[in-house]
Amino acid sequence: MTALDDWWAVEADQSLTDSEKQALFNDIRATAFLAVQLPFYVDALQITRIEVAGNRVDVSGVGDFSWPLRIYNGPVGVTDPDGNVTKADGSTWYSDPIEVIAQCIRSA
Amino acid sequence: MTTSVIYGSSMRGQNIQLGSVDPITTAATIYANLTSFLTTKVTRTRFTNATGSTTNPTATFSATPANGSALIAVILRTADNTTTTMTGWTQLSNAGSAGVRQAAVFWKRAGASEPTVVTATNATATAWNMTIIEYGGWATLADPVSISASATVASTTSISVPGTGMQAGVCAIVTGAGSWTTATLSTTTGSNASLTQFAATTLANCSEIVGYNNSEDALCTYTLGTARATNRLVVGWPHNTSSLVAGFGFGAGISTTNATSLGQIGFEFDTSTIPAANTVSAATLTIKAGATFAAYPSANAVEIFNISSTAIAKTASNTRTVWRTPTEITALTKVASRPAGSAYVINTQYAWPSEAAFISNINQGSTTRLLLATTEQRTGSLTGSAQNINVSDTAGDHFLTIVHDRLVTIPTVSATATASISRIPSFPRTIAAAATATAALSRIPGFARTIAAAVDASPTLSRIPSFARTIAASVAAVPAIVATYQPFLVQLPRILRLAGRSTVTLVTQSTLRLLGRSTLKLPKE
Repeated sequence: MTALDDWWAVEADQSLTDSEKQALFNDIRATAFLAVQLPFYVDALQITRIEVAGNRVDVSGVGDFSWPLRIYNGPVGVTDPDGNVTKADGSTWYSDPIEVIAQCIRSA
Repeated sequence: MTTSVIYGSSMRGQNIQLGSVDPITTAATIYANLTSFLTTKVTRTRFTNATGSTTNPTATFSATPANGSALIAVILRTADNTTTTMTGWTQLSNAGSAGVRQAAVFWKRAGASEPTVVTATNATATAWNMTIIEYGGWATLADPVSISASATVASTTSISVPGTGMQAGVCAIVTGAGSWTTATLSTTTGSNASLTQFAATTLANCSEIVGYNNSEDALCTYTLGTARATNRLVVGWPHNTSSLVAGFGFGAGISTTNATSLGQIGFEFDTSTIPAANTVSAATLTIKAGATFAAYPSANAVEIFNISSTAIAKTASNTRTVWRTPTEITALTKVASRPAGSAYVINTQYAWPSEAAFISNINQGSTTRLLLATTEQRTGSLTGSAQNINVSDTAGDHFLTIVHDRLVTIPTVSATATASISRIPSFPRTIAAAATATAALSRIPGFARTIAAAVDASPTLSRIPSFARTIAASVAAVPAIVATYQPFLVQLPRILRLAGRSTVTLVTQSTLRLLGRSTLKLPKE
């Protein structure tokens, strides 16, 4: 089970309230992001620190970027045509928080 | 500076062209009258209800219907289901149970001199209930459709009346196997603006529903006092259905023929984490294409507008929040636009090029709501072919990237500065006293360095003359001691000459010793 599988299982659970789902999403997110080995690089940037608080992931690093990067309500993976996880709707994903951070950085 | 990436919290797609039963007809009608749609509501002009037990049901309008009005006739029979016909009218739905009940509905576009008397034809004479209604406004431009065809419902006290995204419509139920004593119509899902009862007997009920506007899953329910088998139907003018298609996602755009993925889409982002005092220097919206299919308009840009002032209802609502007319869209601020014919691949995210106005349209400290629409939806100038886009229906697949500063307490700092200024007259005295003390202390290290340097040279030199003078004084004061002491201490041969008139006095117990080659010469006396 990847973090995305856990995420989608919560998403599909009709017995949970929105707030209960959000709490579980936060737990899954924290587990996934805090397991990332530091430091790592996104292009020319070095990522040196990750902190998770509720629905927020704070990312700090070294390089030309408006640090810190703060991600709100972010997923634990990104959609990717060549992804390794397939969602029920048929979309394919890459289950890796590093890719989420990379995507956010590249969107700025 | 900080970069905040905020994933979508909710979204909503509304397809104003999609009908429940005959979407193509509805789409084409709305397409042809797009600019007048929504600004002209469906309005009920009058209605008449009649009952009887003859072969041919009949009812009479209180006045001649206006030319172009849409006329609806609902016929409910409680003891037969033989075919009902209405000359010059179009049947929208008709069904029942043999020998027990029948629910039928017809419609007609009123002519220039429309008769007030409406008559239906049956094969047999049994009890009937007939309601005729005249609708104007948007109804003069769009034909009504069967939203839920006449269908048999098993014996129950709860009868659902679906009315997805309906502007205005008529619902009816009928039974024939004993009365239901009471029948109450109420909203179970969604929110209806009004429920008007046209006919109410213990065997037949015909009512109007207005205002299923924003509900994709609106539902009314008849609650009966006694469980009965019934036939129920719904007709009317639908709009504002969801533009969601499974796997395809939410659709937006306009088409003359394709009615499944059209409309407009609203997005909500929780930007309360961006303090109002911050300065936003960049904002970008990233949107993801549908999971299994991707459509993008070839001749229309896909534009993003700020609708922050209007909450996007997550569930049923009578307030139209997403779908906007060309005039309404033109009045909005465009914050981003992606050119016609841009690349668009399934399951892929794309950053929408931002307009300069985007940064000032981020609703800092609150929620930012954006509307996605096509150029022709803004201008009302139609391309003539399907111009639509589909996006993922998962709100969290879309995100806002905002670069902003982090001076979250700027107002507080300003207040503090003002207070300090007011104390300046008193601070100078305090500072002056402190400055003196501080200045003295600050020079200590300087002296220390000077002394350290002087220790190696100046102080030593300055004391040398002082020692020299002390020695000189001593020599000058006690010369005899020097002359006497030194020769004997060294024990070298010395000659002590006593010149003329010199006297050597040996005091009591003194001894004069002449050792070795010593000579004592005494002058001749």
